[in-house]
This record gives sequence, C-alpha cells and structure tokens, in this order.
Amino acid sequence: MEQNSENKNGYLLEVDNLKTYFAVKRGLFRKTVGYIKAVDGVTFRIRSGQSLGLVGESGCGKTTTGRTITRLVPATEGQVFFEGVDMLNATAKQLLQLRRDISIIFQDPFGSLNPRMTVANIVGESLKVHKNITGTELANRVKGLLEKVGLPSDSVNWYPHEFSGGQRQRIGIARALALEPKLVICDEPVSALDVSIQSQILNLLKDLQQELGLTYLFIAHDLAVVAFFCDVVAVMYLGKIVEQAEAKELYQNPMHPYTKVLMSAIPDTNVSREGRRKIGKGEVPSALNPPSGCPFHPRCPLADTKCSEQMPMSEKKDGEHFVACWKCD
Amino acid sequence: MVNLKKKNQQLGLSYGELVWREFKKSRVNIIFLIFIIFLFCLAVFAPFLANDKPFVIRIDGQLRFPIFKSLTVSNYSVFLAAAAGLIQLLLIYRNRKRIDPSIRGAVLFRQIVVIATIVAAGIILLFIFFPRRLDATDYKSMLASGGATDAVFAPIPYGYARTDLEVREEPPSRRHWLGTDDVGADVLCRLIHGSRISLSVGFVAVGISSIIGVFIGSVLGYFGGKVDFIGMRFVEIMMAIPSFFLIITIVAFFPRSLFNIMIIIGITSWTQNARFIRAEFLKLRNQDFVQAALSLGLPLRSILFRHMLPNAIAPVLVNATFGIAGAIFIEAALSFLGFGVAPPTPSWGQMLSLGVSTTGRFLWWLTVFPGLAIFLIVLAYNLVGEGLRDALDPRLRRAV
Amino acid sequence: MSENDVLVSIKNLGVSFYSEDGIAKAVQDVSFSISKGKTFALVGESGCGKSVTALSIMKLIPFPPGEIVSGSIYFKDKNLLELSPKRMRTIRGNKIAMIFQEPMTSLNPVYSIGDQIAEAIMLHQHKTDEQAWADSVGVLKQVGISDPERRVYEYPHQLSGGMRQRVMIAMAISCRPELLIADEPTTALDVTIQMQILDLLDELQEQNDMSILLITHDLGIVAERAHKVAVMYASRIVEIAGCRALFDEALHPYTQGLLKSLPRLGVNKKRLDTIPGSVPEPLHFPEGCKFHPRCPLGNKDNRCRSVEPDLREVKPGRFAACWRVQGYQTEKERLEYGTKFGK
Repeated sequence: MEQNSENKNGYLLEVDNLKTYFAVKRGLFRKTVGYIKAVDGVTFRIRSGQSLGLVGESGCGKTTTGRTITRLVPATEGQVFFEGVDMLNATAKQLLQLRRDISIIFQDPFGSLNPRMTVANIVGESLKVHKNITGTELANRVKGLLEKVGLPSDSVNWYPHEFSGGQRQRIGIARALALEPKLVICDEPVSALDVSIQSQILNLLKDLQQELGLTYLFIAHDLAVVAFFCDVVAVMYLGKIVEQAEAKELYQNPMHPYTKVLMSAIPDTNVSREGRRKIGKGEVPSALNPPSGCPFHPRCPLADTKCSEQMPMSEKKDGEHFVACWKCD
Repeated sequence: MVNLKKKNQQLGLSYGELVWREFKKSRVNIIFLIFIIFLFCLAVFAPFLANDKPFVIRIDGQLRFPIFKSLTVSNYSVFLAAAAGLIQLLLIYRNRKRIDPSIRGAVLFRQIVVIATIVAAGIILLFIFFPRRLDATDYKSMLASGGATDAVFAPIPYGYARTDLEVREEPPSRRHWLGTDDVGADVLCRLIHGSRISLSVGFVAVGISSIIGVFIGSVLGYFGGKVDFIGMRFVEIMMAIPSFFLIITIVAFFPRSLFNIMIIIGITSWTQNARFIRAEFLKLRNQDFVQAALSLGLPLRSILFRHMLPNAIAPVLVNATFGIAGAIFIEAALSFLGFGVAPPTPSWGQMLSLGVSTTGRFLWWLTVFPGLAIFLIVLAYNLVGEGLRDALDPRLRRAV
Repeated sequence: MSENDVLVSIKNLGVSFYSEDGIAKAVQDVSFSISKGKTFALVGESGCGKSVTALSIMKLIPFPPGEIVSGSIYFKDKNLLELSPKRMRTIRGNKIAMIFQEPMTSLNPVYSIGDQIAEAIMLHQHKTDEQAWADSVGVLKQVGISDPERRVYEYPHQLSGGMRQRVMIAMAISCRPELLIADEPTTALDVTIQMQILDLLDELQEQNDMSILLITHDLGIVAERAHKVAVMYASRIVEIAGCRALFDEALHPYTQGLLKSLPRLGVNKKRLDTIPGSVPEPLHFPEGCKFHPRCPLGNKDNRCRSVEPDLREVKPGRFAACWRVQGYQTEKERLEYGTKFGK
C-alpha cells in the first residue's frame, strides 16, 4: 500500500489541484464581472480497478469535475494525469487515445441519446470512427455489447424513445463500453431511474467492473448509493473536496460536519416518524459568491471565527482519511 | 417502456417515416401535396401539353415527329432532373424495404450525391454537345395548305412564344380557353410554361438560402462566444436591409435572367434560417448526447452534421416551404414590375402585368388566371408547410 | 379509527386515458381513506398512477384525454366527483391544496411572490388587498422564510429551489386547507434541503391539524414521515398498512422487493437484490396479477397469471392484493383454486 502510493504509476487517474472557473459576463461587450468557481482545487487519485465516488449536492461541482477531466470543459488550473499522461496538455493524437480510454455514462437517459439515431448507430459509431470496423463485424460487435448490458440483440434498429428509462441507460452503458475504455465516468447514472431499476443498473455496473476490470469515477448525490458502489468516497462542497476516505471508514467514522449532515439527511426506512433526527438550517451558498474561509462555516454548528477567516487545508487523519476542517482533530 | 417481445423483428421505422405517418393524417395536407405534385408534372411535361409542333405529322407521305425535334437543352435538363427525382423517390421506397435503418441515412446521402452528380454532369454535357436547332416550320399552315396530313397536336396547340396579332387580347373562347394576351399568345399555354419559372425559382432560391443559412447558423451556434457575437451582428445587418429593394437594385444592374433572380433571392433570405439553426445548436450544444459524442472523440464533422443538424433541421424544413411561397411571390412581383425574366419566356407575374393593356382596356382573364395560379401555389406551399410543422412537432416532443 | 376521523375517503376510483393506441387505465379500483391530521403516503414508481390519483382528488384530470370513469371521492360528507365545477373551485385551493414537484415551473415568473400568495387569499377568503398582503407576509414567516417583509416583493427567479418550494407551501397553506396534497415535494431538491422541507410540512401539520397526502417514490421519506402507507404498482394499490408495520414486515412481494433493492448506509453487500424486468406500460398490462411477470412467487402460479387479485384485509389493519399472502384467499377460493388450476 505504502509503496504503491509512493509510485505515481500505481494510479490510473491522478487529479491534482484542479480548478474550473466559469467567467460571468454581462453587458454589450461581454465584460467579465466575476467567476463561478465550479471546481476549486480538487485533488484525488483512483487506483486501477477501483471506484471513487464523488458525492455532493447540486451545484457543488461534481459534474463539472467529471467533464473537466474528460476535457469537455476547459480547466482553469491544475493537472490531470491519466496513466502518467498529462491530459490537460495532451497533443491531439494523445487526446484521441484518451477519448478511447475514458468514457462517460450520463445521468439523463432521455437527453443523452440522440433521438434521431438507431441503437446500432449510437453504440457502433465510435467503433466505426476509431477502429474502422464496418459491416457485419460492426453489427456483431454491437449485438455483443447489447447482450453484455442485458438488452435483446434484435433491438439494434430501434430508436431511443422506444425504450424505457432503464433500457435507455443500458444503451448509454453499451455506448460507453464500445471502445473498451479503462476509466468510465458515471455521472449520476441511476438518479433519474425508478427504485427497482436503480438496483439493476448498479448491479450491472458492478458486474461489468469485475468482468472487464473497469475503473469508475462515480458521481452521485446519494451517499447510500455511493457507499454501496464505491471503494473510496470523496465528499464535495462548493467546488472543494471536504472529506475523502474509504467508503466503510467514511460512514463508520465521518469527520467533517458536512458529511455528517449529508448522512443524517438520507431518509432511511429503518427510522420511524418518532425516531428521526432534526437537520441544520441553511442552504448551499452560490458558487458565484462563496463565503470566506471554510465554505461550510455559515451552516456549520461548530464554526468559530477562524473558520470564517481561513480556508482549512485537506489533512490526512488516519490511514487514507482526508478531511478539510479546523474542528476535526 | 416498450414490450420488447411484442415488436416483431421487422426493420424499424426511420424518422422520415414517422413524420410521414403524422403528416398524412390530415386530408388537407394530402390534397395540397397532390396539387403541388400535379403542378410539378405540368411543369415537367409542359412542352407536351402546350406546343405548336405536332407529335406526329405526315409530310410527303412520311411520318415525322417534330415535337421531339423541337425540344431544347433546357427541356432535356428538366426531364433529366425529374427522372432523377423520381428514381430517388423509388430508391427511398426501396431503402425502406431492404436496407437496415441503421445505415439508411448514410445510404440515402450517398444516393443523393451520386444522382445529383449524374444530373449535374448530364446537364453540362447536354449544354456542350446538344446541337442548337430551330424548327421554324409552321406546321399548321402546312396542314391548312394540304402539304401535310394526319397531324396529332398537343392538347393546347400553341407555342408560348407565338405572336398572332389577329387574335390579340381575346377573352376566353373555345379556341383559347383562357383567352390570349397582348401579342396573341394563348394564356393557358403561357400559364403552363410559366409554372416552370415559378417552381424552379422557389426551389433553387430556397435551396441556396437554406444551405447558406444552415452553414452559417451551425457555425455560429456550435462555436458560440466571439464567433457568435460577431456573426450575429452581421446577420442583424443583413436583416436590416429591406431585401426587396436590394433585389430591385441589383436586378437593375444585372441582365434579366432567371438565374440571377434565383441567386439574389437566395442570398438575401438566409438570415431567418441561420437564426433558427443557431438557436437550436446553442440549445443542443449542451445536451448530453452531444457531450457524449464529444467524449467519444468523434470528428467535428460527425458531431455537427450527424448528431446536431438532424435535431435542428425541423424549423428550417418548415421555413423552406414558406420560403418557396415567398420566393414565388418575389419573382412574380419582380416580373410584374418588369424586372423579371425577359419575354418571351413566360412568367406568372409578368402575365399579371399585362392585365391592363396599352389601349387602357382591363383584360380580366390576364389578371384572374395568373393571379389564381400564384394564389393557389402559395397557399398550397403554406398549408403543406403548416402540416409539416405539425407533423414534426409532436414527434419531436415525444422522441426527445 | 372511528368514522368521524376520516377526512377523505376514496372508493373504487378508476381513471382512464384515451389515446390513438388504446385506452390506458391509469388508475384502477383504488380505495383508501385519509384520517384527520395524519400523513398518508402513496408510494410507487413512475407511471404507477399515484399522481393521477392525487389529481383526481383535485378534479384536475385533463379531459380529454383523461376521464374519471368510476368510483367516489368523499371529502367529509361531499362526493367531490358530483360537485359542479363552480363548487369545486371553492374547495380547490381552499379546503384542499396541492404542491408540486417542480418548484421552478410552478410559480409564475412575472408576478412577485406576494402577489401570487395574496391572490389566493383574496379569492378564497374575501379579504381586502392590504389584509391579504399582510397575511402573505404571515404565511411566509410561517414557512420559515427569513425577512418576509422584504421577500414578498421578490420574484421567483430571485429565490433558490428550496425557497421556492417554501413559497409554494406558503401559497398552499395560506387558506388553511384541511388536506394538503404534496406530489413529490422534494424530488427536485437536495437532500439537506429535502429534510428541511419535510420538517416544515410536519410542523405545519401539527399547527393546523392538517392532513397530508404525501406522494413519493422514496421509501425512506415514507418511513420517516407517514402514518399510513399505500403502495401502488401498475395503476393499483397492492398494499396498505400502518407505516411501521409495513417496514417491519412487508406482505406484498413487490413491496418486499422494493425494500430489498435499496442500497443502505452501513449494510455491506456485494450486490443489491433486484426486481427483474421493468414496470409494464398501461397499454400492455399483463393478464392476471400485473406484478406476476416480475414476481418471484407468482411467476409460475396459474392463479396469479390469470386472475387479478383485489385489495383485501388480510390481518387487522393490513391490506394486500396478492394471492400468495397468507390469509388472503377465502376458504371457498382455496377449494376452487385447487380444482380449477391444479397445484
């Protein structure tokens, strides 16, 4: 373990102090009046074959992190290494290779599939473009992929709207797997699905991980789903990772007050009307105008003046447990 | 939420078929579509419907076929184009039965490219190698004088360029069903030949404006930012110019030819299309399926034209039908004002302008019939456009 | 539970939607009652008919294509389905109020929130403009919006999602309704905000002695908030029980499957249990029990495959619609079952 973390190449993906700012422009001449710090200094690493969960509420920058890593959104600062290749400064040729090695599964099973293309085209297009596979071989590959994700192989000629939400999500997974990627970024893959379908998709993703040795960056807002699915969990708040630990460690021993709030906010079927906890007040502040110091201090029950003035740095507590909080000693 | 077992394993429906199913639900749509097709047939077969040359005639005991000899290069070009269009339609029908929907789009595109190339090459070859001939024989007087027998004429046995001062400005009669104009040409004959001008002006002008509009709009919408900012100001400048006066000005400087009119209408009316496409692209740019295509590393060409354009084209298609109607109108207005095609080439607008003769008489048949023709074709295109919009819309909502 | 405690009683409600492809029975034979001052939860997956049931109580089913085809909805002693549209308007928004899932689109962007709340108050309670505005400040304060005197003049786009949902709730409770229908009130909100909103609903319920019909797909919310639960599947209620009783021991295989398929904090599992297949479409409902193709018990059972079970009381206070639940079949049916279908 120790050696592995020394050796940079033990990790498939390394994200170091990644920042993505969006300029806010106003007026006729599009003058920049401010920045939305969607991702503000995010650092994490994923070992090959593992899954890292990125949890947080809407607007915390988890989706932007995923899109910045795949260079769908330009990064402002920081470094991203994939298998030792500097992704943010990759040449066009390297980028093309990276596009094959990293794929994305999207949240919205309705918006993420082109409504004008048949399943065969949606799944097979990247094979055609990147690997020059055509004709019967392409058809067979597509059928194989569909079977792998649990869809009938005779559905290749249908359009996305002819499928249910869960089936569409399977199409999206098949598309993501077409180029045999090493890293799959799952952007809220189950949050738009029904309860009974969620578990099917989660199981499918787990099975595929075992079968194909995939590495996942799993982005979600549901801590219960992430805790089930991931080996390591990172909790994001306002563009920063506030706590990061192995899944088991995190839910057994949450340190950051925000993690605690998040955990107690998950509705649980084992808790009755009488036995439930109350939750703190306050809302997530806007990323355009974040609070000074620790971003969580206006909502934090433990906050004092230091918290409102100085930004806490991420510190290693025990083992692989990182927390960014002045109050967690 | 489809029952996967329930569907039989036939080839799926393409998007075009879905739209067609929706479109044909309304009877009005079908009626006016048939009307437009009917006009197309009229235009294509105009020389066989109204011609002063007979199909068959016996001169000195020998059978001759002067009508085929009298066909010009442009006639043959029209036939070639019409045949190509018909073949393309048949191919679409065949594709539906034979070809896997997943590659149907690509196949269709290839077919269109091949056929269009053949047509273009054919027309160029025709223009180069086709002998110019002029058959000035007056077969009717030959018949009258007994020099020829056994003639079979077209239903309207007059040429559109005929001048016959004896019958000028005659109201509708048995010989001239819709009357004659100021030089004695048959109005019905000129109406039929005039439909060629109106239809081709509409199609070519809208084709030009759609291609320019789609190209500029997609570039602005996809790249956004500074490109979009500067581009949109340019579009706004173009929109601020009153296009009809621009057309009149330009037409006044250039020779009066049909092609000039088409091109000028085309390059002044693309702004609406550009705005439509730009708006759709801005919206689509952030859709997940476009992001997915980007993340798969697909080439820009594929993202723009395979993933985004088919989802953005609907308003342009609808606008095109209205655009055809508008172009027909502009051409008619230009011809009415005397800036249109040069006589004797017939055009509906030009015929309208003859409604008040030089002697001051009001010739109602020269106003009513071309006017009615313009009215009907503009109405037909507008209604078909409306039907198309309705057919595209609910599908879009359900499919997206 | 005595008769007088019942605020709303729905019997054999049936709602159909007509389309070119056929008749979709969105709600079939739904019966339940809501007690005064209690929370009744209607839980189920998308398309199971829970929202349609709620809209039927408000008589807001769009016609065409939808139509209430059978049943009765008694609100106290009035059958809502027999009321004239005019009488219904005096109840809707006044005695029965509703909040929707999407706080972004359910407020009108061109009016200030004060305008929107005051309008409802003026309409139903015949108050003057000033009184109504004063009242709207009051309800905003009640739903926990800070600085309500200033906020009444703000427009929806100036508020966050959680705030907008609070405004929606303020509008709904402004006329002190006896029944509040909350259709997925927190689905569009973040988890921490979700808890705040649900807490607020609880508080308001206690203060106003209001009944809540809570419609949700989230079993966790149901467990923590409801007094009584009905589980819907494919347009029917498959199980009704007291909240704790349901989560302690679910009777219907669908409810059991749902509960097992949830990932839980602290429970370490390699795989989740799943319900195979997907929810059937209303136009292609299977024969017999609609759950049988996905049911671990009913899959091979002839009776499940051919006869649809209705909702029956199988234990005191426990209702279920499943042939395989103990105590469901009558003696006569058991005999008939044996002869007719064979074992």
